[in-house]
Amino acid sequence: MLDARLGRNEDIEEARALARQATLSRAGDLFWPAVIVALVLLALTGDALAPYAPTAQDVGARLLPPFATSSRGFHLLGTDPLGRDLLSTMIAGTRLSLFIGVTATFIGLVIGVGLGMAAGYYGGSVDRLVMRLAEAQTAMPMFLVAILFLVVLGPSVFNVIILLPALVWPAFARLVRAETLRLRETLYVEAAVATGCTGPQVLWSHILPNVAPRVAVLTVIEVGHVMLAEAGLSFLGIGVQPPDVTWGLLIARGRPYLAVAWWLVTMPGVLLGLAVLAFNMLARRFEVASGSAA
Amino acid sequence: MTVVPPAPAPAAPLMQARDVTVRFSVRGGAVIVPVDGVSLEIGPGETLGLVGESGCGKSTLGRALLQLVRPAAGRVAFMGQDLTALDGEPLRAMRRHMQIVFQDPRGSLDPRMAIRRIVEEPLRVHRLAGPQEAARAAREMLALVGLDAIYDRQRPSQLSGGQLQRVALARALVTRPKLVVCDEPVSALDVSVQAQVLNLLVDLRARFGVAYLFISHNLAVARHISDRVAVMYLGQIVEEGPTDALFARPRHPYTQGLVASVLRPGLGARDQLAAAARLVAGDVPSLLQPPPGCRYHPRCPFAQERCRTEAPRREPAGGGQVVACHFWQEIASGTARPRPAALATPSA
Amino acid sequence: MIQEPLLDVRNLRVRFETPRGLLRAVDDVSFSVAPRETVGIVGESGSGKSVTMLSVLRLFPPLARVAVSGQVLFEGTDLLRLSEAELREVRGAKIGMVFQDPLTSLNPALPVGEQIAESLRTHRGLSRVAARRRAEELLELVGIPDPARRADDLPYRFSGGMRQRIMIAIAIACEPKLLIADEPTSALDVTVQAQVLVLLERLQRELGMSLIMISHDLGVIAATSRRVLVMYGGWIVERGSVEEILERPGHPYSAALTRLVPDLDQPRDEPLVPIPGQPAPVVGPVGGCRFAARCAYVMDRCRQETPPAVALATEHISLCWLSADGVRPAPAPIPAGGRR
Repeated sequence: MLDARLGRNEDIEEARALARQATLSRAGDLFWPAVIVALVLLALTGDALAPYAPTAQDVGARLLPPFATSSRGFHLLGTDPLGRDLLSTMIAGTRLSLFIGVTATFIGLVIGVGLGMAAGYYGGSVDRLVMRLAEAQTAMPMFLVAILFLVVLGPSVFNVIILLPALVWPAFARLVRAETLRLRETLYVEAAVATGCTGPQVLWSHILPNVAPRVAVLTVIEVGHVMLAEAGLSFLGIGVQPPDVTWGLLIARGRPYLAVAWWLVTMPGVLLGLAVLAFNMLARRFEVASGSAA
Repeated sequence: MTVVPPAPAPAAPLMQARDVTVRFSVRGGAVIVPVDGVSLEIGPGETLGLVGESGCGKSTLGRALLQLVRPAAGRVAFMGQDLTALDGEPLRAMRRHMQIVFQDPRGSLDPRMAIRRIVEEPLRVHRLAGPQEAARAAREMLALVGLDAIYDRQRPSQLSGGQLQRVALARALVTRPKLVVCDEPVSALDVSVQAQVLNLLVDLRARFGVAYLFISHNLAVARHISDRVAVMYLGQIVEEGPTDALFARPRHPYTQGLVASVLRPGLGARDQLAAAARLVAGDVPSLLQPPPGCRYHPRCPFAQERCRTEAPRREPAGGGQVVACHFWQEIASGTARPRPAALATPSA
Repeated sequence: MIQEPLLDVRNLRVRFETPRGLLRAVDDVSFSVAPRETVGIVGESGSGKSVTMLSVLRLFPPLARVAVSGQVLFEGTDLLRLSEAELREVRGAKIGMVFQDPLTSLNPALPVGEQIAESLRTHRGLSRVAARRRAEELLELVGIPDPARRADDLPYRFSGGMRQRIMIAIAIACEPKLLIADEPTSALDVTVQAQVLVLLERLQRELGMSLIMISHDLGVIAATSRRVLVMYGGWIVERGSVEEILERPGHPYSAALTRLVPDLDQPRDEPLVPIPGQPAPVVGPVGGCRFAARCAYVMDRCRQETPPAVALATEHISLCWLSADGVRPAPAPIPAGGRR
């Protein structure tokens, strides 16, 4: 049908080859979203999927390596010093790890987006104040500050969730401020002002929906970061406290046994790494998708 | 024909601008003055055409009148209030009476907002209607500009340029404003769509009695729709008058050049082209270094020594026309002889 | 036409593969341009007027999925069969092009003199010194004052009108036989437009070029061309002399074009007669006349059968069922020689 009597048919072939490649890599791209979907399912239905109760101890089955079998049955990832099934405790930890990651990121997002929009739109002293705060935040060793606070306030899930947003809001604020500065110059924002919109109306109806795609990308990246930070705090013993359990806490609990039971640290560590990587890869996909759409 | 005072306008003007000046700082610390001491009046329900070439400041003037750009000097009286003295909430509240339509319809509509929401927005922000009432009013307005209800929930990216300009018009008129600034509203549209939008502008004016400030680089379009026309050159209005008089007897050499340069799709176009090229030389100079004296003198075939040093004043030229030229009478009577147009001015 | 044409386009078809289907950008377009002649092509965006000219020189964006068929005979050689290397010898050397937007067509980082000299060195094998001297002559020819000094300036130092003059200097540097001007004045101010059009005419006369003037503006076409092609939806819907198209149009689209935009000579209270709807790209399977959906004279037959080419006079051809029935659309109210 296509009469390509010009030398142009190479181009058409090339375009088709590119299209084929694009389909292949699209199939590959499904892997990372699948990991995240699996993690979320695990968090929601964890107890049902876990082979054993995560807190069930069995002194007879202490420190079993992966693929070992105890009197209770098969342990895919082995057991810990109290004979608890590692896979089951990891599944139990998924829920809290993800919950803390998502909740703390969301709080950071709300603070960062609000301050970033105000700074970008109103400029002047508002802008200076917000940016000074963000700079101070970035310049300080925030992790040490977090440790100090947790030591003073006492370690708890609640305190972790109210502290971790402090680590992420500056990233949101910077991104949103830059986007707001750009959008403020667009014709449709000028049209909104000419129509009679107030500042907050412009921000809510015109700026926010148009920064949302970029914020979504950053959110996914930051969930990974927050989960890593939570693991660090729990590892130090000032984050989540037993009987609650997260991946970071599991790593901390396994550390003394590293020489005799490598799986106790390695398995949750690999899972944490996989989760952070998955969030980053997903964010990249978003970025590419929204970039080509824009 | 009677001699009218310098500002020929109906009894109580809707908008009256006096010596409006806009200054912008540009990179390198320089200051440009895109609008320099402009005065104009727009009567209720009147359409004032504002014509000029790119960079003459006509768009900036339109924005300055609406206080979207704050003038550095001058006053803008509108519906009995001095807009330049207003700020914040009082100014915002005035915006329901004065609206704007931009050249680029795609850029001026939020890409993430549905069409009907765009038209509802002015009613919402001015608290003129509840949600249901606003939806009904928006629907009526969209029907008036000729858009079917199937577009209500679509986004701007799904509509054509002509349809989007109809949406922009619906948004501008939904609060029943007294004045709409139309900034090159048809210039970005295909020729076959331009006529549709122009006819719509005329229909809506008749229906709502709204006044337009119609900004255009296209003289024929401005002539078609305007009651009066003002000609702008390098930040200043050089001539102004009732449309028919201005086009029949352009007094300012620049207006004469502009009118002669519009190529008619007729059989004399070839001769006309040669005549036009003889009449206007060179390009519009940069706003960074406006020429001293009369700003048109480097391109003017009638320019004399006085034009290089002394800025001309606005003078009534009969029939409601006002012109800012030292020698308009000599040019009109034919006693001033044009020199052949120079090839081009060295100033880029 | 007894004279051998310089450019002879026969049955040119250009199709683009798009996500929405096959786009028929140009369909069965044939026309010729005689030496030293000016031919005007008028049409809206999407009419195929620019694509026709881009396919003459095969200037498509890289990776465009495009299929071209037909013949483009330039001095007897089919340009569509030339290799890319052979075509490069034609582009710029024998056929020059001037586009709408001079700013994006010029290299912003290279002095304008060098941009002109570059073409002379590659196509004409001129030495650096000779090319530079010729570049200055060309700048003078297109009306740039003080060319020796200004040849060293970068494009941003020139105004829009000056830049278009520089683009013209580049296009005529190798004294092409044919100059294609695609909306050359649409981005320019009206007072500058006349100067640039006069310049193009003068150069055409002095260099003995043929000129293809592409524009959406009937005024520009009327002022420059004697023969006119009216394009719509990838078709040449009407062709004829300027007089015929303006005063005795056979196709309803040509007739509508003359009443679409306000005219300085027309009474102000005369309403504009718009064409309903908007120009739509011709995608996927199509039957009948492409203007049928917007035509005021549409008949049932127009929607099903491709209209025939009807000769209304020698060289005046209308692609319309109305013309086949011997009917003319209502004459456009054009004042006879409405000069001042």
